[in-house]
Amino acid sequence: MSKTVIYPARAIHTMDPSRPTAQAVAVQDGRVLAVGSLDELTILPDYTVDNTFADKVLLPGFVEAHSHGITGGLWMHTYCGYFDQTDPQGKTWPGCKNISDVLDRLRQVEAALQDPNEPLLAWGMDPIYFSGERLIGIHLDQVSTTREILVMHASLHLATVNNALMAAQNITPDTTMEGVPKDGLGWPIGELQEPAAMALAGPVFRSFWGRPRSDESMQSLGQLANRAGITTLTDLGNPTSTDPATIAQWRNIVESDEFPARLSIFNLANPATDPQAVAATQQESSDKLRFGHVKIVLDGSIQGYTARLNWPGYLEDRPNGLWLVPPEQVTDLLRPFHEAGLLVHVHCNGDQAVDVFLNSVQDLLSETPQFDHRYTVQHSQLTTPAQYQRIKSLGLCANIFSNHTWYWGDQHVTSTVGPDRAARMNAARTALDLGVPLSMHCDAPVTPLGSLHVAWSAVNRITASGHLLGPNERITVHEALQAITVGAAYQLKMDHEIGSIAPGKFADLAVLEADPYQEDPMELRNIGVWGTMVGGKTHPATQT
Amino acid sequence: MNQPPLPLTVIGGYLGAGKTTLINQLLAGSQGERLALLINDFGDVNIDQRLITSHDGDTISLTNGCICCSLADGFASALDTVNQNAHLLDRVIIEVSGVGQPAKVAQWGQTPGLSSDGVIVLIDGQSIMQRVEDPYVGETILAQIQGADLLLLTHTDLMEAPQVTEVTQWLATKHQAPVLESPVAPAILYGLPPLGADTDLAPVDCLTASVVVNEPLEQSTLELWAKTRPGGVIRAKGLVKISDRSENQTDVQLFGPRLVLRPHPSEQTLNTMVAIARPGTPRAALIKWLNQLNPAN
Repeated sequence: MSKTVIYPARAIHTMDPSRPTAQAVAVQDGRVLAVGSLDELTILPDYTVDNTFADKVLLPGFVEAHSHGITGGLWMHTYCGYFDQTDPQGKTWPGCKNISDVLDRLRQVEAALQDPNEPLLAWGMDPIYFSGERLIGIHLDQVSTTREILVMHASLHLATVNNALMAAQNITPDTTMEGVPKDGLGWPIGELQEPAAMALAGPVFRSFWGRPRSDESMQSLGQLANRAGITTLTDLGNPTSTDPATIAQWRNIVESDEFPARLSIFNLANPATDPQAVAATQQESSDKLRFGHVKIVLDGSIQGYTARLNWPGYLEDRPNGLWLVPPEQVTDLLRPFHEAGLLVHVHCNGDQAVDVFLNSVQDLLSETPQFDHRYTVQHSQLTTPAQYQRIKSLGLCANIFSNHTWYWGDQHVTSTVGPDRAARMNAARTALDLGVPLSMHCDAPVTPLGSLHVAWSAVNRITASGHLLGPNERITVHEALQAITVGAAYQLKMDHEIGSIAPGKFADLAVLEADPYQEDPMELRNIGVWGTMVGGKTHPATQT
Repeated sequence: MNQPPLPLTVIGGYLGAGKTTLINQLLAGSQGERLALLINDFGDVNIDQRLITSHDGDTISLTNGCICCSLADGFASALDTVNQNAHLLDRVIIEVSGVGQPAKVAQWGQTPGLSSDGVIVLIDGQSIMQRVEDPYVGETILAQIQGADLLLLTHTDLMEAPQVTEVTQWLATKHQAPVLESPVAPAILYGLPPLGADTDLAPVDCLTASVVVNEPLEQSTLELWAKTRPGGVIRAKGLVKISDRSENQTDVQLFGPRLVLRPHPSEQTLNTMVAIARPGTPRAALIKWLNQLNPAN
């Protein structure tokens, strides 16, 4: 038994309704021993006082219930996204607002590379914000005519490469593949559209996804979480989570005291997945690492026009989106996991995908009741009030992609679904009013790992152009903070262990520089994060 | 390039259209042709355990030279396995999931070392007319049909003749690709026997003919020729010299209405065109059409 340490703080918001605020928290053996006033805690026997947090504000460590393990690893490539973003080391990279910015960024990084043969890879570039400008190979030749360069677009359906890469990989006028557009003289312009064409970039394309699976990239994921106040992460959809090598790699990293987060890994399941193999991985779980839950993807994304929408669908009569599983097969796909009692989270961006998922759950619950299943609609972006009613009555949860309002809200108004449906996208207010267990997420790396930004977006519903989108779906600061702590913990079936500061729970804290209950709600995303505590161990965010 | 490109056939179609049945027929009837089958779920194929020589998780090797590769890690990964074994293989077949778009998957057939050899979409004749009206999957199925080079109508043994006619006529209003009734010989699905092979290898239940092309052709001549094909033509292919293209030999593929021209990488000079037509097509019409490629005659 370790000695009790009492941490006084400027303010503590516990997310425990019976004792919502406190002055100090006492920690023993990695867990919360007691929380309350200093007078109450100092009657404990044999303690020390640690004043590290004396001028900080403590919340339960944030819980990100929809992120991806690859998030840290993308920083092994050069960031070229439109919005400012901070890397695992704490350096903020200004957003690239046009192609000229992208080229400046690449030149700057290229100049610092020592090995002339090392390819230059970039990620995050999103031409949706570039008003028609198109990045092609001759642009990248301005960065280097000798080093191979590949810029992956944010959609992941398109990459731009330079002529050095095309020469090395034999992409020439003789290349006949569709998705390799050519100029008037028959030369490929450097765009590689869709995976088969991107694969022509050979080892450089493979390393785009390969490098981020290294140990170093997983450590980066922990650093990003630490900087955001997140103490529990998810890898929501790992196709190899039953593979002993994957399990060993994560155990080696996450179970180290130095790794500043817990991690729940969901198996990305398909009809060929063996539910018993997924269930068996639960035996590998530990305090910091969880296995044995299931993720299924039903449709695509709204901004990519691949989510499945009910009538009237997308604007301008665009075709409806893509199914990743035939709707008729969803019940059969879910059944073995349902019967094995596994937790299942299902990606449903569009409202038609939500219908399919709900119909299947209703059928399965009629066949085989499962109490307290906590099946969750992930993203839930276009879910209607009627669907939220069903979500509630079937005992499901919603994990809403509230960051979308900021990042793509303007595009949803003008291009995807129009102002009426955009106003009710990511309807956290409706979900809460109907009693649906709520969490909200960033889907990192789709948007940056950052729970306070997620909460800010749901509280304010401001788009990148400054437009207030769907004010009636705003929620309060307290509701948003609940959603990113105990709300998310509930959906991971971890709310008895994490999500609030209460006796017996893990001592997981988000350590903030200001009090979100006192600040202007518009400042929520700007509140400084000192770092975290995970299982009683403090992890100050590294300073740069 | 020493190794000729491996032909790649894509098989798609919605649930219940019979893809698994077809894949199993192709595997059982490979007759010495060494196939690489890229499939979503090993559980779908009937593999006699005694025929398995190795099973490493993502790849099953069989005594007849065929291999089955899982698509669990995606097309790129499965095609890496194919490339490593290319010298031991004769053909690649990809099974597309029930909601996948086979025409998009066929893009992989243009990868160096492979040669796209057609998109076959299976259609359950009994249910197609209802399915295309389905608000969830109707559009998906219609897009599958419209991306096909060959439509294979299945379960016609359970249908009355007028219903088969109705479905066939309806399909013709949606897409121009030839429609065949299942079952058909693998050789028809694969298009044609290898160029230059003994014509005895041609399937017995359909008509094939070939012609040696004496002089270089203009591309526009070839395009016009393709449009004037007799009604029964399913496919044609050949290696010819096209006067307004730089390569020595152009690989010509005619899939129903779709003409695809690609430079042929090998040094082979054949100047031959082969065509296959459904049974009942007049042989004279087929030969007359092929002979249009030699206008001097």
